[in-house]
Amino acid sequence: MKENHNIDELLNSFIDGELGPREQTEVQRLVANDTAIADRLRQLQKCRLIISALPFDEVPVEITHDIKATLERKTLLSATHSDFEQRRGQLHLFMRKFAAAAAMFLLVAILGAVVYMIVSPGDAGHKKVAIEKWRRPVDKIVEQKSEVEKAADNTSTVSPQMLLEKPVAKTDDFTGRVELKVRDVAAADAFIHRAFEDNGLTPQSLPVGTNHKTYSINCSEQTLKALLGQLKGIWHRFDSTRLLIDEDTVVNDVTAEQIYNIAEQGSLLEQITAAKNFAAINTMNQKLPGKEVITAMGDKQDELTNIPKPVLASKEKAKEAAADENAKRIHLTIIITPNK
Amino acid sequence: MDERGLINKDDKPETTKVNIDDTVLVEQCRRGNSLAMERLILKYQNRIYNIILKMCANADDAAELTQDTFVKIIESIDSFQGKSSFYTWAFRIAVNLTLNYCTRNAKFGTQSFDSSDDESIAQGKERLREILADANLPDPGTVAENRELCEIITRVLMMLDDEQRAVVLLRDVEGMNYAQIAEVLNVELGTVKSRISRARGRLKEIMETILQ
Repeated sequence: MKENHNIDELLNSFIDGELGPREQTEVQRLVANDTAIADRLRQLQKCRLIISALPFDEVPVEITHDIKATLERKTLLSATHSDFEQRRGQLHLFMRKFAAAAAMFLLVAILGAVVYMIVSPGDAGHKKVAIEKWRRPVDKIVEQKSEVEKAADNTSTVSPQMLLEKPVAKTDDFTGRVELKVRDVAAADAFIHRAFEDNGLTPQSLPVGTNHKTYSINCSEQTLKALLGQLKGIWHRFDSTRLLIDEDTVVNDVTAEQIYNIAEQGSLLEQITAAKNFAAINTMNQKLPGKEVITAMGDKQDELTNIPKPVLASKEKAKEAAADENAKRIHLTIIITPNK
Repeated sequence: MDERGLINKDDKPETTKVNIDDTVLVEQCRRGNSLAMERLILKYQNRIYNIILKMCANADDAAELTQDTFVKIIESIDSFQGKSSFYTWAFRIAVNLTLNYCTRNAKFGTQSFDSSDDESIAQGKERLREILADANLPDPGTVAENRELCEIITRVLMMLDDEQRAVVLLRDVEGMNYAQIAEVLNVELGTVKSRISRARGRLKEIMETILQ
């Protein structure tokens, strides 16, 4: 059976022209000598001829068009899908870039903060005090109604005695801040401290920083005059002096006399006007050589020179204390900062 | 026809010439040249359709399978690496699609001559009996002109296994050599020889059976 199969394979290969010349010659000799093999060869040849003689069927004419139409439809669908995928990809890419940029910004900000903390001066934290917007404390200069006016509000009848007892209107308190810059803060601080004590003041030292010294005083006009008279002795040692009455009113290179002159003004408006005048003078003084403007101011600049220390008797002290209750008050903040 | 019974048909593929032309057309097709694509379709559509039709014996299904074959060819032409010829690659796609179709529609093997034993079938059988009894080889032209005989032969073919039918058709209808058939079916050359031998032996048995 296996031998027949091998012969069939050989004969089929012979029919199909798949044998080499030598094998082909052998098959021809085999067929010539064996009638059974010759019959088998003829049967296989007939099978082959019958199959190969089947008519050739023509393809339907519309098939080319159908193929092209199908391809076009698929291409369109594919292109649409591709566009969608592309847009999706672009969005994803944009989001990744955005996230990367945000992360970089965050990193740079953190690094910047760290570097700033490392390289910034030791008192950097205290500069906050200097740049803080200073606001004038709530004024106590709200017009105080007199007893007569209050009575007039309550009743329409005013007695003649009340009119006679009408007190003089109280002048405005002075509120300001003096910023002084000096190389040796400690020495200046010691001198100012002693000046405060000499004038019976107990300064409220505010904890604003190790290199800053800040004092808040609340005193009478006379006490301020005495204090400034004493400070005048070291005023020339200050590298920079500045008085602030409010955010808009600043007097640079202010002198002790100017501070007193401003503080002694009766109303806030007058204080501001005086401060602005002094500010203008000081600005001009800085621009003009020789300090002609200061010289031209005359002897008023030495107003504080001969300020006597108040030496009061005990009786007079009591009177003074009573008078001080209604007297003008000075609220002054003094800040001493190192000049580097 | 020579002494081995081979037929020299003009429409059989001339392998060398086809490969040269195909290489150019495939390259142009890859670049999106629709004209090259159309030329490839026109060049092979008849031959592929003819094999598919004789494998599945249904004109509508054969047309649809031919269309699917070319769509797949064009879609996957970028993946064609040129290790084999485009000709065998295209036929591999066609034969695989058709074999899958035959597996899904396994009705052909059960087709019987008894249910449709009408007059034309009887005439076809008679003609086939004459051919097999004749000591000489039949004239292919005479066979092709006999519609009843062709009907019988088609039915005999459908009684072969799918793989045997494919190998016989690729050899005897398409005219491929064994090496090309091996490429198309992705089998060894010896397997092709064996399958052809068994298929022809089986054909002879079927023909003798239906003529009894």
